[in-house]
Amino acid sequence: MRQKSAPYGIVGVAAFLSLLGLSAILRGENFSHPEARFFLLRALAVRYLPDPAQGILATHPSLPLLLALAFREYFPHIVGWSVAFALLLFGARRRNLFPALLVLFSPVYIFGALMRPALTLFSFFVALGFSVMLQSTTKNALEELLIGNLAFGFGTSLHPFGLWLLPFFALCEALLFQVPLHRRGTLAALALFPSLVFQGMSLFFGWVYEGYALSAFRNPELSLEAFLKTREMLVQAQNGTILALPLLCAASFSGIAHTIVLWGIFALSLLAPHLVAPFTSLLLAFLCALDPNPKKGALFGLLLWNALGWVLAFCGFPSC
Amino acid sequence: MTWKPLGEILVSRGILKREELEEALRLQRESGRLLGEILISRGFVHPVTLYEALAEQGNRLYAGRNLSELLVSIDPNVVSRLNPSELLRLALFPRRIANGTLEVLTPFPDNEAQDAWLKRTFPGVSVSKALITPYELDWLLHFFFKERFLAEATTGLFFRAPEESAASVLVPWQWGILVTILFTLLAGTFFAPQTTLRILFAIMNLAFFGQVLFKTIVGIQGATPVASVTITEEDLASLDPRTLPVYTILLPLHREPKEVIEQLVHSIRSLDYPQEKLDVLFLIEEDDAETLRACKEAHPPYNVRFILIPRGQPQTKPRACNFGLAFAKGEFLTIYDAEDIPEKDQLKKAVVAFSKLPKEFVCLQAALNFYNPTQNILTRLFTLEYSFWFDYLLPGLFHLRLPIPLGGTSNHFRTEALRALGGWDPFNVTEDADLGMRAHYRGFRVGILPSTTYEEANSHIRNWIRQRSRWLKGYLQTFLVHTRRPYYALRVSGIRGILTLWLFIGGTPLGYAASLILWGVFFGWLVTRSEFLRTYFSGALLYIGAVNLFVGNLLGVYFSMFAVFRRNLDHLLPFALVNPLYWMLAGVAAWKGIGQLVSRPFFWEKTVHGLHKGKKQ
Repeated sequence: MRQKSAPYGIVGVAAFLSLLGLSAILRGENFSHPEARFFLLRALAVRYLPDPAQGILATHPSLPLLLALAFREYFPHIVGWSVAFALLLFGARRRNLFPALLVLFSPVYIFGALMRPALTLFSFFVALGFSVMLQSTTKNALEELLIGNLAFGFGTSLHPFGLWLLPFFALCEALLFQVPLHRRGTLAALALFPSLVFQGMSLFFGWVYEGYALSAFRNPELSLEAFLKTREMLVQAQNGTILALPLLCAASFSGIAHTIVLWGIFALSLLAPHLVAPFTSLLLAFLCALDPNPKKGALFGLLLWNALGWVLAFCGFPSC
Repeated sequence: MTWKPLGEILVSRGILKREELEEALRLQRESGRLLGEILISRGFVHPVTLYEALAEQGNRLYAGRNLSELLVSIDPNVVSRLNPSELLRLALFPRRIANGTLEVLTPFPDNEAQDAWLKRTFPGVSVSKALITPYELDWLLHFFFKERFLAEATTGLFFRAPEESAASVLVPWQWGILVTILFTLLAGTFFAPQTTLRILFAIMNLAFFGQVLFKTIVGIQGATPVASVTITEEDLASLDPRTLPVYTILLPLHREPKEVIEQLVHSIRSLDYPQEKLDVLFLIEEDDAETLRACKEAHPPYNVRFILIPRGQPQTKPRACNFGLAFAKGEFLTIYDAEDIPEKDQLKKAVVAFSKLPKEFVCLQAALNFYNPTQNILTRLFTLEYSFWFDYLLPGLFHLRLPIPLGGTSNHFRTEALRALGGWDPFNVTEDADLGMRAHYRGFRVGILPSTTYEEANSHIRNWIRQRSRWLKGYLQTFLVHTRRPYYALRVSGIRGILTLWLFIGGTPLGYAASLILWGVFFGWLVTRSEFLRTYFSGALLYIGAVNLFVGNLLGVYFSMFAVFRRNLDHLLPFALVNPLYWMLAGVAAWKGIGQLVSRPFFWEKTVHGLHKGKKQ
């Protein structure tokens, strides 16, 4: 009994410590990053609307805004803590907390959670989706894909970068499974469906409340992507690329499917650097941490990523 | 007179061919059953002819030649004081006591348990045995004990455990709560209509949200491919036919078309289980002469017994099943509907599963699916729904150790445990769901059997609504029955069991009913954008409503998509998008069910079978 409950005890303590650590580090932060600023400003605006609920549903993405409205300036802490807890729980269940701890105690994660909470949450769910898909590929078992697809679909509703990843996710799912040709189309449809419904939600409420379905995507007041396009600086893209390299090299130790997925995500992030390039490495690190059977090479890559993160942090990364 | 083997007697009389005898002897070596049973079940010999030969062989009297004479000769005073279940178990029937000797009728005279019981029950009385066929024994028991069997089948549960019976829809305190709710609603509507409606909407939305959450958790659990028991090909191959137990199959039949009966007989013959060890009971209502005729014309094998269910109320399937249960001989028992086609090795799988699982598992539920999914849009949607229900939800409930409401057919029981549970509640129109819940509350478990039974999907809307309204009414009955003892339920099943009862059993019919209102108001507002309705689409209500609308529907649609995908029915996938319309139809059925719960609680809406016949598949 004691043996069984030990990992959960570690999870609890580690989660508590990570929460304390996050709070301590961020006490002096003024959330100057555009992403955090978008949600906090929007939350402020929404709070004074006659019906805040309508304002939230007309915003894209709406769930991080809801969290921002509920937890105000503590919203990044809550996101960071929740993801940390989830990651530790996965590690504890697999009796291997090391990868999770490497991710959580890296500046990329700590600053990422605090400055880009939506992207952090998004990265976690998308990584979970890819991770479950990769595990299912290994066993060629289609049953658990449901969970992976739902996680990915939910993830795409948390950040605009989801739309960029969507075709890649569907393509991976359709190609990586050993099923007859005619079933590959079905697999792709199944991969796309949850994301499309979640995106449809924004279109629907855009139409209902703004009279224009795409308003939640095009208006900088309502859309994170439109907001970032005007505010985001691209200088961090280089850091993101450097940070991703150890993880990309490590992917080759985890098999061909892992390599395809990680390199694919990396390549896509280069297409939308204003959105994700600085933190692509976080998504990749989550993927490594969620791998149920991490290879030594992959762990080494993660370790290198963590160390490199600290080096860059001391050199000024990631201030805006 | 020299003793001759039974086979030789029959061959010498020209009744049996030599090669038939050799085949029967081979089967006897394989299955370990009595030669006579094999000869009858294979249709080589008529039972009466066989028993005449047995009488000759054993120098006994065969008493079944003239049944009217036999009936007159039976002394009711000797019979009436005995327990019919025991007589059935021991396969004997006391005829009379004449000159200090008890005359006993039996198909199996050489039976030590029988002798011991006779010595105990009739001390100091000598016994003489005469032969009758098993069918005649059933007939005699039915003739003399019909009323007793019927009383047990109808009111047995009610008298033993009234709190578990749906004979009374509501108990006094439930009436009190219902009246209070209705009164509050009425007063609220009169004094503060808008606030009352807002509260009502909030409750509906919250309950709906709870249900969505519950089904999501259960469905995701069901997606994990861990069966309650793993059955390999080797397990099945290693089964020794000689040690396989007798398996009873109950088949409640009511106004079934001839083609359905023919299909049924074919399905029984196709089962991969020694026919000699199958105890098949056709349960036919006494007033249903047409089905009886169709059954006779279908020439079922001799292991099929016809049990006529006496007239009476409520005329429901569970009442028929309870009546049939009294005649069941098998160690295990299952129920199929007339139109069912189970996978051929399902019974063997159940035997393996029961042998691997602990005794607390009293029942195994096989998956149900359809053989006519592409007949029309309704059957497609029905297939989507069933695939989700049986492939995700029920396994999910099992993984989470929650109570499992049994599906209509293909429930496999340990017969004695089923009897100990009190059989089915004849007043409940989803007796199967109720039985699953009762088993859970009494500390037993229901497992999932990795096998499928194919049924006929309802293809006519009216027929579908009839069937669905009965199911939803039955779920409400089950909900009301098991909420009568909240503390007891909480103690034995914990908070998760209570949540299952409220969100799954009660939540299913009430959720459908509520969703129809919510959809109506939503579309009303979308079209008119009226200020009056706008208040129901703002604030916290809007958040929950939006989640219910998008996430609830997404998950419902998506789970069913995945379920048919798992079954290689990819062509059904696009139809999942029409599911919300199907759920609205279920909402109509839910309201009909609620109405019937008030007006005719025990009325059994009969589902017409055989509608797919003649349609090109």
